[in-house]
Order: sequence, then structure tokens, then C-alpha cells
Amino acid sequence: MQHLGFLYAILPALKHFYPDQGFADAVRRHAGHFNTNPYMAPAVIGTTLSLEEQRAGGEGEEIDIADFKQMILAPYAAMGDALFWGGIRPLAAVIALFAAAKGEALAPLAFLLLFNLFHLGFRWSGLRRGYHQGIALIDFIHDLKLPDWAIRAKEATIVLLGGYFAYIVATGLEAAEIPLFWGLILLPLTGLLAIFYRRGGSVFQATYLLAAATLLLF
Amino acid sequence: MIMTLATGLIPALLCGLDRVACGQFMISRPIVAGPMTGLFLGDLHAGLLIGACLELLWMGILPMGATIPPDDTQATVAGTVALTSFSSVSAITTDVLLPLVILLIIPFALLGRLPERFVRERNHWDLPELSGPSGAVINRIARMHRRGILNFSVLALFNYLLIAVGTIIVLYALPTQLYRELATAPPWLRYAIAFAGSVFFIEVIHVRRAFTLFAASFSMGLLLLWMV
Repeated sequence: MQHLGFLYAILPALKHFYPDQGFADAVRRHAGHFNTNPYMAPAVIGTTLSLEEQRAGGEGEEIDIADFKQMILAPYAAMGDALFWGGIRPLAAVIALFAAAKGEALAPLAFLLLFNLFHLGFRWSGLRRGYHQGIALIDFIHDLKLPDWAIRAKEATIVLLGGYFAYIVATGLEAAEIPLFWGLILLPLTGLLAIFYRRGGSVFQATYLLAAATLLLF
Repeated sequence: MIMTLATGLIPALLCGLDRVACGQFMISRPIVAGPMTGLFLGDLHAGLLIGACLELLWMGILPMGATIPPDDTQATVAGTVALTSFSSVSAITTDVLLPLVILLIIPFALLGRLPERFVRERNHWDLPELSGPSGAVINRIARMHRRGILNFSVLALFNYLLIAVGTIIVLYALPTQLYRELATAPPWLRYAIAFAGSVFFIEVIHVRRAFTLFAASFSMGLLLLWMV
């Protein structure tokens, strides 16, 4: 979520908090830079609304709301990107890919269900807790140990990906009536590809190289 | 062909908006956008095939920070459209065409980053006039917000047409001999594409001993299937 989206989301609440005066100042406070992971943004919105409500009621003057927002944006973005983009999304995708490999038409629904249940719950909970707990939400988010969960989700994804390719390779080899243990050739290929990427090769260059090699070899 | 291309505009818009501007419920991911487009075109199988393959190819390319990844969403929608429309007029099966279509859409998807960068840069805004009643201020800001969504809608449709039309033109331009060769090509080609994406994902996600985990899981799975 970025600048204008954040302001647009909190406008009705600002209008509610500042019915007579102070509305324009509040809008100015939130018109600056804002960029964080979209699934972490509701937590920031909830906390911001809590602070704005306190300020509208004549409390919490000592906290600079704009500074507070700027302070938490980057760490929230890093945690959210690692967990949702790098962890849960690939995990949900690989589970759905198993279903797709079996020709199951419900594969996309499995992906949507797995991913959305988690992030919608997190968004709703972040908004509510942020509003009710105010800046104490920072401690709550810290205690959740989101980076650890991101690592676990990534590890689970890799294990499932290994199983997925075992299934795909086994199916292909069986169709070609080749003994399955020949599929272990994929392991040195994985190492070679990893070296290629570490030396700056892109996934698209690798795709064309592998496609050309497959056509030449078979 | 034109009707298929026009029908593809609906999933292109829906999925394109989900990608950045609205919701981010991930209907924009290839594994969903492909089958959804397939449903609109009456060929779920083709959508599922291309969606699964592109999901693996694009899995490691994450939208971290300010990076603009290639438009995987419109690549999937356009790829499904190109696959189903060309398959229906040429009588070549979607399974045979799939790897070729994927190899063709990649350069167009990379090209799609240019209009996306242009739209993102143009999407800056200045604080509107804050005088007057709060309702009027809200309306001014809401109008700017809607303009931003409109920009991303136009971008989604533009990228879809760029990738779809480009791919279909190349498919028509290729010699028929190539399609005959492709029909006898091994099924490994599509797995090679998916494999390139998966290894890239393992390489970029920064997990210690990632390759050990992958190797152990793959070997165990394969050996178990061999034994059963």
C-alpha cells in the first residue's frame, strides 16, 4: 500500500475524529510518503487511527504520528514481504500445483483459500489490534516472530517442491518407460543451474538455455 | 480469434487490478489467472496448463521494495488466449503449443515493464486544495484515488494486448515445419521451463541449506515412487 491509498483508507475516520476543525491538518499529516507491504498496512492504519483519536481527544500530543509511521514502515515492509511474498504465497502455490499436476480444476481455489485465509485474518486482526492497542502493537508484532515463520514457510515450500518434481519426473519417466532412478540426474542439473544463477544468469536466460538443450538432447 | 482476444480483456482487467491497485487477493497469480482465463474462453485445461507452468517460472521473482517484475499476470492471461485461439485455428493441441507459447510470451512480458514504469512514475500526486468542507476534500482525494486505479486498468489492458497480439503474430509467422517438429518433441520441454523457475526460487529465497532440503526431498520422493 502506498501514499494516496493509505490516506484514502483513513479519510472517513479522520472526518469522524475531526468533525469541526483539525481535519485539514490531519490530512496534511498523512499526505506524505507511505509504502509498506499491503498485508501489514492495516496494522499501521489501526495504530494511526488510535493515535489520531487520542490527539482529537486532546491526548497523545507528545507522539509525532507522521514520524511514528515513517519509523515502522520499513521493518513492517521487510517482515511482510518475507512472510507473505516469499513464504506463504509460494507455499500455497506449490500445494495448488500438486492439485494442478493431477488435473484438478480446483487447484486455483486451493491456492486462493490457503493464501487468503491467512492474510485476511492477519489484515483484520492487525487493524483491530492496532486500533485497540495503539503503539503497543509494535510489541505484539515483534512477539509474533514473523521472520521465523517466513523461514519455516520457505523451508516447507522447498521440501514440497522437491516432492512435486519427484512426482513430475517419475510420471514422465514412466511414460517413456525409463527406470525411475535415472531421474536423479536432475540433482547435478540443479547444482549447475544454481551456479549459473550465482554468476548473474537470469531465470529467463536459463529457460531458453534449458529449452534449447532439451530440444537438442531429445 | 478477435472474439477470443476481446473476451480475454475481462480477466486481463480483473486480474490486472488485483496485481497492484485493488485487493491483492492473488487472483493475479498465474495459477489462478490462467484457469480463470481458461474458464472465460471455455478451455479450463489450457489455462491450468499454462498457469501451473508460469507459476513455477515466476515463483522466485518477488515484488520486493520498488522493483517492477515482468508482468506475469498479463503474460498468463495473454498466453492462455494465444494458446486457445491458435490451437483452435491450427488444430495443434494445447499440450504441443504450450512450451512454444511460454517461450514467446517472455520477451513481451519483459517489454511490458516499460509501460508499467511509465504508469508508476506518472502516478505521483500532489495534495489537493484542503479548503472547504471535509466532504469536498474527501471527494477530491477520492477522485485522485480513482484516477490512479484507472491508470492501472489501462496499463493492464495495454500489456495484455501487447503480449497477446505480439505472441499471436509470431505464432502465425513461424514456419509450419516447426509445428510438425514440436508435435514429436518430448514432453520434457515444459518441465524444463518449470524447473528453471523452481531452481531460481530456491536460489533467491535465502534459506540455509535450501539445496540440501530440495535434494533430500526430491530423492526421497523419487526413490519412494520407484520402490512402490
